[in-house]
Order: sequence, then C-alpha cells, then structure tokens
Amino acid sequence: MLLHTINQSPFSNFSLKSCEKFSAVGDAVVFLENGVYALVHPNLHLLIQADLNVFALQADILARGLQHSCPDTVKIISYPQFVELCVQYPKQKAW
Amino acid sequence: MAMKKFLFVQTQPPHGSINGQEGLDAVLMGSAFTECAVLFLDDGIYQILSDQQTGPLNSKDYSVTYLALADYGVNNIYCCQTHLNERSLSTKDLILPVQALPEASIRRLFDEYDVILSF
Amino acid sequence: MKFAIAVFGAPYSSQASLSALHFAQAVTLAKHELYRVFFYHDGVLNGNNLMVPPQDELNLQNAWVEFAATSKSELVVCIASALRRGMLNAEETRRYEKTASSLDPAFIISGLGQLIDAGLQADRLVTFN
Repeated sequence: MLLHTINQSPFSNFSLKSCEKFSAVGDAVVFLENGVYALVHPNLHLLIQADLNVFALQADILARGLQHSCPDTVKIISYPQFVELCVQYPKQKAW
Repeated sequence: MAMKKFLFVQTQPPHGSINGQEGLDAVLMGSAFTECAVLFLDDGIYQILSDQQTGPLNSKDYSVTYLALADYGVNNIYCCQTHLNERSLSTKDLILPVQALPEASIRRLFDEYDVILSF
Repeated sequence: MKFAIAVFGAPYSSQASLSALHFAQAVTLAKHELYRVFFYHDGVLNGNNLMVPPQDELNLQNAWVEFAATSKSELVVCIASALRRGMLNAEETRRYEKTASSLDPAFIISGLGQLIDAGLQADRLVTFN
C-alpha cells in the first residue's frame, strides 16, 4: 500500500493524472500545498472511482479559502492525522 | 532484516533545473549502501537522451555519468513506454539501455522497492 | 515509530519547508522518534542564518533551530548542495577562504550518505519536495 502525496495544482501539473495512472486499489492519496486545488478539479472523481482513499490537509484548504468547496468523498485531515497515515502506509510516493 | 531497496524516480528534464543532476548524485550514493534502481518518468527521460551538447550553454553534461551506473552495480533502469511514445522517442534514442515498461507495470515496480525517492 | 524527513524545497519560494516543519512537529508531538531531518536541493537554504524576513512573517531558519532544540532532532544539510548554494559553516568558510559563514550552527553539514542512511534506518522516510 502506497501513500501518494500531491503538492501541485492539477490545473497546471500532471501529478493528479500520474497518481491516478500509477496507483492501486487501497492506496491513499494526500493532497497538500497547491495539491488541494484537486478538490475542485473535474478529474478528482477518477481517484474515488479507482477505490483510493483520498485525504487533504486542512491547513492548506483553509489558507486557500477552499473550505466551502470540499467534496464529501475527501477526508479532511490535520498534520497529526497525516503522520498517522504515514504509520498506516509504509511507503510514500511524492508526485 | 534484508537491506532495503531504493527506487529513484527522475521526473525532471536536464539543465532546466539541477534536480536531475542532484538526483543522480543520490543514486550513486545510494548504490554504495544498497540495491538501487532508477525509473525515468515524464520529462525525466530527457536526462538520458543521446547527444546532449552542453558546451554552448556551459552546463555540465551529466548524462554521461549515467553510463557509470553499471559500474556502481545499478543494473535496473526503467522508463515508461507511454512516456516515450508521447515524446516520439524509442529506447534507441537513449544513452544507455533502459527497460521500457507498460504503464500497468509501473505501480508493481513501486511494490518491489522499500524506499521511493523522487526528484 | 522511527521517522525521517527529507526537505527539497527552498524556504518561501516553495511551501515544502513550512509543510515539513508542521509535519516534523506533529511527528514529535505523537511521541514518534524523528531520526533526522535531511535538507537537499534548495532545501539546504533553510539553514541560512542571514535570512531576515519581515517581522510579521515566520523566520523559517529560526523555526527549525527552535524545533531542533526543543525536540532534540538532528538537522543535516547535504554538503554538495550547500556549498553550491553558498551555505557555509565556519569550517567551510575558512576552507574556501570566504568572508562570511551563512549556515546556522544548529545545522550539521554532512554527506548525501546521510539521506540514504535515513532511508535505511528509519521506518518511514517522508519527502517534502
């Protein structure tokens, strides 16, 4: 099981596409920094359909004013929860 | 416990940033400690395009350093066939022999290694 | 669990340093061991003790030093990345006959082998690029 981290906006970067292509059922994806713009990207649902567990860092969402645009399919997490995910998922792939 | 295996993922083209060159330094260092492999994704493949002429730019041609990987015991070098196709490249255009994998095999590659470092 | 963190991004130019700092604080808060924070690429600039950001903004170099002091964590910068970017401690300043040193003494200058070692020794290596 892999923990994918995406820190680039999918509107200007391939990370979301690569992550979707190179992931497996049960992997987790954490959106952080500009990666949280994925929450409002039309391709976000591809990750959900691929049975990935999708998370996004709350501090980055709040800082960018995206808190009113968070879909229910994405779990909003704190830094301590991010650390806990790293415990659950042995390997990180930083896109 | 068996020694952890490292997979280094090169994603950036050469010369536009130093990421690739410093990434290669990490591969060489890693190979002194443990089993290492390199995977070229996206524009990373351009790092090993043949016939780079960096003289006029006065940038270091580190692509030739990749030729030393075999001497360091790094024999597993991969790229994505789709990413080659997208760029109208074939493995013949590259400075060293690379295994071109179908997209579906890349995720399995991540499973084979214990640490993945992306540059 | 034993964590290690790799920071590749420059302070301010990229959010990587700030994210890594928050993550590092959360690791120690959860009582995990933080084996090492390794700074590579532009990440070495986090050790720049000549940075003077505006007073109402976080001084990332100070924040790392404070974090290391309170958590007893090891901050390591890659020597090749550091020298290339003008991050010199007192010893390197003398060696290269420069006029000023820029690397805060809380940051240890060492080789890239420390990144590989972090990947081997820690249970988790988390990168902020």
